[in-house]
Amino acid sequence: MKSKMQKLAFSMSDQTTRTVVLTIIMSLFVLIAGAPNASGGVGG
Amino acid sequence: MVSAGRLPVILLTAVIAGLIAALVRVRIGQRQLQALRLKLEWLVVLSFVPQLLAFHLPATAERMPDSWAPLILVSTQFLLLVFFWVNRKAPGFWILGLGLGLNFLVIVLNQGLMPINPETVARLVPNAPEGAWQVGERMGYSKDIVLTVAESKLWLLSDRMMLPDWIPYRVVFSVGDIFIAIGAFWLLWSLGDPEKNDNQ
Repeated sequence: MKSKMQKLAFSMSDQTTRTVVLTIIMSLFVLIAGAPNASGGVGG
Repeated sequence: MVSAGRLPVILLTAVIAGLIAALVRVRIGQRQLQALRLKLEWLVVLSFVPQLLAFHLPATAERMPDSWAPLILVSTQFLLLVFFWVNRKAPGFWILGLGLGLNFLVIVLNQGLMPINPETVARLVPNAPEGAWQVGERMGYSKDIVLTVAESKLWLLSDRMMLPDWIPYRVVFSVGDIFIAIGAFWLLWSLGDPEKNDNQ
C-alpha cells in the first residue's frame, strides 16, 4: 500500500515537472520562433 | 531613441491559454495531465540565449553589430526547425512547424530579417523621433528590417498585421506567428486529452 502511494506520489511529481518543463520550453519556443514586433525597437 | 525590442509576449498568451484549457479539461474529466516529453528540448534553450542577447537585452543588443542580427536570427530559427522536425508527431507541431517555416522563409529571403513596411512602422510607433528608423535599415534592435512593399519578398508573410485599435497593446505580427500561436495552444491543450498520447 505504502509502495503504491509512493509510486503515485512520484508519478504525480514527475508529471508536474514535465508539465512545467514543457510550458517553459514552449514559452521560449514561441518567443524566439515568432517574429512579432511589440515596440518596434525604437522609442517614441 | 533606439531601444531593444520588448519580448513579444503576445505569443505567450497562447501557451498560457493552452495550459489553462488543459487544466480545465482534466478537472472536468477527473483525470490527470498527460506527461508529454519532447525530444532535443535543449535546442530551444540553445537558440533562446543568442536571441535574448541580440534582440531583447538592451545592454548586449547595443554592443552587438547589426551585421550579426541576421546571422543569429537565421541560425537560431534553423535550430528550431530541427527541433520541430524531431518532434513533428507531437500534437499541434505540424501547424507550429508551418508557422516557423513561413517565418523562416520570409526572413531568409529578406536579408535575414523580418520585413516590415514604413506604413506599418508609422502605425506601430507614431511618436518615434525623426531618424529613429529608416527604410532599408534594421529597425532598432528588433528582428525587423524596414522595407517598402515593393522591396519586400513575400510581403504577405511579413510583419504586417496589427491587433484592433480597441486593444491597447500595440504589436505587429505575421501569418507565421498566428500558426505558431495555434500550434503552441494545441500542444498544451492536448495535455488534457483523456488517453495517453505519447510523442512517437
